[in-house]
Amino acid sequence: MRPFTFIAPETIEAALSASASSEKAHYLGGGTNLIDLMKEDVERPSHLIEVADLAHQEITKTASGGYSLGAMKNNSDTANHPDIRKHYPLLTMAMLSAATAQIRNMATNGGNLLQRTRCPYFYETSMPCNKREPGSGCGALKGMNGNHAIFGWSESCVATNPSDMCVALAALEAKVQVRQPDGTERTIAFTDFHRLPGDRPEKDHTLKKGELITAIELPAPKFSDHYYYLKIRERSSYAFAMTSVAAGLELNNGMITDVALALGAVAHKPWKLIASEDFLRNKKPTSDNFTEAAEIAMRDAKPLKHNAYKIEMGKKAIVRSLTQAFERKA
Amino acid sequence: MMNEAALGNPIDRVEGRLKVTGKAKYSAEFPAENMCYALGVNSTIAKGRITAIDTTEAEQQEGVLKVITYKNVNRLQTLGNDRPPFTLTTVMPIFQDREIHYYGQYVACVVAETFEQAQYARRLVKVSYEKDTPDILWDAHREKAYKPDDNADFSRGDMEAGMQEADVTVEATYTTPIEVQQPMELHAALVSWEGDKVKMFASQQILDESCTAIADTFRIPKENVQIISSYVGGGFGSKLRIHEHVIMAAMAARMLERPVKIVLTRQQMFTNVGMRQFDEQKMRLGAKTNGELTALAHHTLSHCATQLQYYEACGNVSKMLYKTPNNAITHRLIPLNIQCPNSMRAPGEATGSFALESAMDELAWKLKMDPIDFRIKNDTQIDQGAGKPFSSRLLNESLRIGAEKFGWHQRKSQPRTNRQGNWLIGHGVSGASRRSPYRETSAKVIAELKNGNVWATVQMDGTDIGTGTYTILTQTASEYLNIPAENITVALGDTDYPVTPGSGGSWGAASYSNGVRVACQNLMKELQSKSGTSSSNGGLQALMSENGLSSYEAMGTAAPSEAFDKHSVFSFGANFAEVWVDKDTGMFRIKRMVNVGAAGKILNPKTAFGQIIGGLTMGAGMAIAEKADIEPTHGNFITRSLADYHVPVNLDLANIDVVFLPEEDKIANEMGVKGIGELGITSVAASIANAIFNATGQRFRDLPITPDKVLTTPLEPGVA
Repeated sequence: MRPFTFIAPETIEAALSASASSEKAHYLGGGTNLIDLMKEDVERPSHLIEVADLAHQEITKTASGGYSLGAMKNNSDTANHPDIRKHYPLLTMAMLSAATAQIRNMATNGGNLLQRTRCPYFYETSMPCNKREPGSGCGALKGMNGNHAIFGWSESCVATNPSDMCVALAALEAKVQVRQPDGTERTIAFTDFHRLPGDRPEKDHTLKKGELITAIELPAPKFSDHYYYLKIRERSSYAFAMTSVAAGLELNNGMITDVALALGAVAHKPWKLIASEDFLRNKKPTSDNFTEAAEIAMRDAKPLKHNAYKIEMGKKAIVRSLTQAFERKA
Repeated sequence: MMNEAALGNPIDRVEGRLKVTGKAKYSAEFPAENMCYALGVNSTIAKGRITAIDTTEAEQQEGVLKVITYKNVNRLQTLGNDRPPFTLTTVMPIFQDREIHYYGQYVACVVAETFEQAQYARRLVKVSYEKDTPDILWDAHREKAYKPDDNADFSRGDMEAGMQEADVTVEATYTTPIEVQQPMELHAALVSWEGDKVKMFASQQILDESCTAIADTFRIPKENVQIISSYVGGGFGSKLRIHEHVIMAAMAARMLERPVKIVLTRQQMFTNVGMRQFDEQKMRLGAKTNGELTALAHHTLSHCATQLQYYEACGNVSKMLYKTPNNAITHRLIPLNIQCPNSMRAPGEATGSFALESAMDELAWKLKMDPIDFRIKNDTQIDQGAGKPFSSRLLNESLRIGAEKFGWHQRKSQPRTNRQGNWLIGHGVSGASRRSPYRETSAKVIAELKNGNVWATVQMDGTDIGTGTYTILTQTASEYLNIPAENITVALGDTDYPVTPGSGGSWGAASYSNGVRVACQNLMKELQSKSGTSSSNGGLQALMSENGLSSYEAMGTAAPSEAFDKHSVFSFGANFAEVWVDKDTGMFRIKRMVNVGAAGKILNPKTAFGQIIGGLTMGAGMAIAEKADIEPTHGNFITRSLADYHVPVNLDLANIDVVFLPEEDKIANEMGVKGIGELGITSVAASIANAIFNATGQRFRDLPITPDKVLTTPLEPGVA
């Protein structure tokens, strides 16, 4: 590792001002991704500001009937919180499919939103990567891209977002609560939080310099009876998704009254399937409709050389997760 | 009184408590006064040469003692230009020239007062290269394939005539990827010199031959090299040989006249200590409608390094496992700019058995025969490849007993007919074999009378690579000295002790235990002859007292017999797998496995089970996920951490049942011990692939079998 300074401020305000003091300052949550990347010489912060022990550790009910997840709370405690298990089981299921128990115990909710891609070209400093070193080229575009994006990629980056939690949050239409350097707050809709690579793949998200995530807000509970998170991967635990689906249904009188649907591991951001959701609303939960929703979802897919399988895998996964969600005993 | 530790009893590991309390010292844990730390700098090109190295900034950092490069290196024995075979005693020169042969090759060594200082300074060494286009892509270099040595080819009968004679044939090509050993314990060494003598704590499986490699590299006498390797946290073949880091640390220690410690990074475990090579195996089999094999060919194409040669002999299993009148085996190598492959658990047999046992399943399907009946039909008690009888062979028994244990009769012979909800259920079988070598081994036993009790210490330079060597040798000494296990100390892993062949190739347990047996028997005999009695009624303690001895030691050496040389000695077994494949998504689960093995006398069922379960796990890894990918343009491993290199997790291995068949084989050796360290991995992947075929009607000839392949592979012809 390169030398860096480390502070653990006692207040959010102190953390914000420490961050403002240097261009190369970086907040440190659970460290499950950042520290690895520092060891790999991919991330080179000069100052680490530990925020994992700051306030915002709580899970609280909001005025609008939803819940607020403290950004500094760890993934295990969030996923297993009785209210989350009860009201947002889709989120619990997605979070518990991620990484390992040990990593989930360390990883914070805010940090989960900020984990970086697992593209091997990003990790190896001798290879080109526009995300790591803007202007150096994208090695994966014409290289080994078996687990790269099929949606929303650009010539400059074909990386995917590796998070499971974020797929459920996108499906559930969460919001991200952020403290700005001047101390004021702002709220970002979840689907606006991560960005597509375009010609600025070094930017994964829309946070501005020095901003700190303080909470993730969930809307009033929905999809708590009919939900499923399907993660297809090479082994049963501790593996990133090849494709994942977060699916939730609200049913009334044999009709779908509302639907939540998002894909993981297919794009630079969690891929909310808005057209498929629109198609399914006010339809019957039949296998034909689920199949059609899957076709709609994959309509605009643009596979690379080695990841065309994700189209078929994605379709099958969407149908299966909707079916599982529907058949789940309420 | 019954000896609780007698051979064959499942006693707990004698070193278990030391390990779980952190008191068992591994190589990197030994202290040394005035020690400093070395780390290698790896090349970032796969082919070319160094044009300049700027070490100024690195050398200016606090704590940095030296940066070693080709410019200030000690001269060492070099490999020469004829691409020599990578043997157990091959010299390991480093920094002797500016040429780069593969990505990650060491180009410099940074030595600093602390590990962290070395790690930081390592980033600051600036290397410039003249870059050539590396030979990485397999298909682009096929014409460079060559025959590595005289043992690479074998033929018997007339292969083409045998195929003509066949009623049914299978011709199929199987590939297995580069895999890496990745033991938990990182490779490590702590080296110090005294004059021209070097002593090192090093994580190595085989010590005596490693001494030769080190001595020859530095051009010093072998007796000047001492290696201590008390505990090894797994090797799987990657620690059989000396690798460059050992020489690098030794060179640094010599230059600085201080002890130097080196511990590889996990990434360097992918680039610098070998791997299982990629193999492309072309199988041709023919059989009569009654199931008799008429021909069997096994052609392996693989790769080696540009400066060093190694190949795993995939085809050897096809010389001996089944009876066939016509047989053809070849091995060819393509030199590529990839690090030199080396041995990984059951080299040749793990991969070769995947191809053979998959092809046997394909042929059984075409013959409409039960795959167990088909194998039994082609049983042989003669090793046709070697022209020798087997010393013992319980392959048929393993298949039959396994079938019963597994419930084979429930298997549906037609794929896609066993369904439950979204799952397609399949059952698969494979036969397993692994050569059981036995090599000359010496041991010393020291008996002592203290406080009215008799104590014994066993010494040999053998190693315990996590397999239970300390435990089985305690049991062996307890048996042959007839004293309690608590009174026995086994001391291993020091080249000051008597010479053994080390741990590898499944010869460890048989060789070590017989060496200890002979030493113990010699000690008893010598004491009896001193006493003038031929009986040991009073036991060791009485003999020591009668002779007025407080301490007595004896040596012993065990070696293969003439009968051993006249036979083929193998362990045999069978694997059974039940796999559930999701009918839509490409996901599958190994629901259960049954392994039956016949490996002679089982010294300790507990440690032996551990060996087999470990082998099955690694075999399941081969089948479902293990694969190290190389970037075709840059030549580097893009699989570079244990997050990327997927070994099975607990959930992937639901239920495992291990059965050992009783077997007495005095030809193998006096104690009848055969190897089990590699038997467990052999043909496991085939049993899983065959089960997936039985479930889905899809053949998977390219490992690993990942969900994307399950989604995109068509059904075999003839599957409804």
